[in-house]
Amino acid sequence: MKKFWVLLKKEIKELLTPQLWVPFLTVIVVFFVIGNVTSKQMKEQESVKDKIVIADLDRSNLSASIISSLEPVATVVETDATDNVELNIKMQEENIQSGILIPKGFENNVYGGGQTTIESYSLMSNFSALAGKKMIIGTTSAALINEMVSNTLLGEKIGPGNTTKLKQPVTVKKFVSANGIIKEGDATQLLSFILGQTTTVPTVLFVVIVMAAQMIASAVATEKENKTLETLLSLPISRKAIVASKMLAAGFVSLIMASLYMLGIRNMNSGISGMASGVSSGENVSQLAADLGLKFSAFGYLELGLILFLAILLALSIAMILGAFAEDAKSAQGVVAPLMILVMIPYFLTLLMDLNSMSIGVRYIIYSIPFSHIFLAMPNILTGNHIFVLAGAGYMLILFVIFVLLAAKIFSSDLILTLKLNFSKKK
Amino acid sequence: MEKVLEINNLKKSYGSFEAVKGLNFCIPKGEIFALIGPNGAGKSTTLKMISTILHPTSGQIIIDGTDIEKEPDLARSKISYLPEEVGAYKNLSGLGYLELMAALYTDNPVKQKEYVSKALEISDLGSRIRDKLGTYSKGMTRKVMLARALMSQPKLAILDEATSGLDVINALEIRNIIINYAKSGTTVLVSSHNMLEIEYLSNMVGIIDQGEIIETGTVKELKEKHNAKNLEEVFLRLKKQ
Repeated sequence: MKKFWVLLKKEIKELLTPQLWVPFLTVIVVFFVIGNVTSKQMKEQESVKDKIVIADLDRSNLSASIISSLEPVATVVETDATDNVELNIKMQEENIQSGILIPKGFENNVYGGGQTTIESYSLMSNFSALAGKKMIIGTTSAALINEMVSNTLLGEKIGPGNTTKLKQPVTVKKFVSANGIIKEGDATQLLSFILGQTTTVPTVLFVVIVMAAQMIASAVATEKENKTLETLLSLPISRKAIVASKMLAAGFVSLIMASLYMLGIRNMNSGISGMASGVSSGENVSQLAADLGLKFSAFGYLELGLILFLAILLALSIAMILGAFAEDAKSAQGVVAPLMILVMIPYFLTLLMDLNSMSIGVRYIIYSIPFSHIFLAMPNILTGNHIFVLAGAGYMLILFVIFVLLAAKIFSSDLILTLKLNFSKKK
Repeated sequence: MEKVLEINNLKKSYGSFEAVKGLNFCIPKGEIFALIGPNGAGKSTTLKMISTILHPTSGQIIIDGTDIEKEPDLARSKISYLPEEVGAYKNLSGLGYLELMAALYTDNPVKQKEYVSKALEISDLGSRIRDKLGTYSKGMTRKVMLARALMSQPKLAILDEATSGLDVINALEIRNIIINYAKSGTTVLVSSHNMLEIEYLSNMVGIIDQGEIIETGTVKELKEKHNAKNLEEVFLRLKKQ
């Protein structure tokens, strides 16, 4: 039995090498930091009341009373807008996601027993989880208006005779605006539809980048470990060709992997959304997205393809350099940890947070992480912010060229044989 | 006499440690030159610099008229290098590995076939050449690697500890292959810490210790000069001086 414990101790020691636990701990710390930043931002957002723009075309006592009753739940920004177009322009100018239009004749309709309808508008300019929260304020306000009017009618014992109308005196017509287009539809359904699209590709890419990075780092480390690298370096082939062939091979394999993953996840998602919302509802939302210009055009797909391609190339060039630090395939898994962190931070932050609500310093830090542009590309393509997308692509291209040249330099020098990470103490 | 390799004041440092301290020697065409010395003497570092894998800190290496620092790609086309510890792509068969290497040496399909045919002759593994390299014994692997190094008939073959870790029979076979190959006109630079085997293999010898060449000459000259029975005795006497 004693021998078993000796063996067990040896096995644990071999598994728990610094090459394994240092990157592992780093990733845990990154998760912790992301969690803290997100929760801090969420708390800040919660402490600030969400804003809503209200266009009161009725200018009646009832509408004024309704507006003032919204103050406890939202900060009301009143506008002199005379129609829904002007209301949406105001929402865009103020960067406020929700708006309500109280039509002319609202008070008369309420007291006269006619059909009373208010219009709720949601501005689609951001597709994060936080943006969804901001849009809910429109629905909450509409419900509150209905309750207010209902209470008023019940209190004054006037209005339509049937109880249903007393309970539901105001109906809400929901509209969504994006890219300067206004269409009738449900913003929450549309947001979840778009999130389904905009998060699938980055999620797949996240997995692919991590796998491709580990693949190329292992390829370099395995050449070192198997003692085939020296032979390769002495052959009449340029070092640039060695670097390029390794990168292209890993890029090619990871693209195949990405396509297969994408296919699998798309099938899974369509199955799940079909179950959750029914096919016809899914089709309606899809049509709404198309009407609002929130679907990819051919140019949008081209931009997305460019970003994905550059992101994979950039990740490969960085991983190639990191792989030079690895002494064997086992340590190659660990050396790519910095790259994984660079992908993880923007992935989670863009998924959870609304970047526009962050401080300018934090925003620029996120922009400076090249892989942020993968996750920022899709919402920006959908909202027509092509300059931002292409600038991100240009930034990644510049970094890719720098890292490729650096990788070629390492392969042309002694560094490819002498670089190593030494976590152990010097004796 | 035509020189295939010329080394002038070659130095290599790793930080403050000087691994090679100003080597000077040259090898005439068709010779088997042995760089011998104990472990850590600087043999492998020297061979790696000649093979363009490591860069010299200072000094000059000229292979067949080409300065390797100025034209490394051209220099690589004139050499082949067999590292002391050389691995194989274990998923490839012996034949697959040789074909891959031939394709990396030349784009010419006719030459590629010639190279593979030459390598098959040198390795002499019969039908086992079609088996995966992962299934080979150490001796078989070394023969395939040596065949790879000699297949392209380079101007200079650089062989680091060519018989390292092999049993007597395999070591003898490898030595015979090198001797026969050199007769065809290729210049060979070998290194070894086994000074006795070098007497069977080469004519010219450079004894290296602590990064410096402490003696050069033919085996016969060195033994006579130091009144020694073999190269090991020559080395010990030089160390005592």
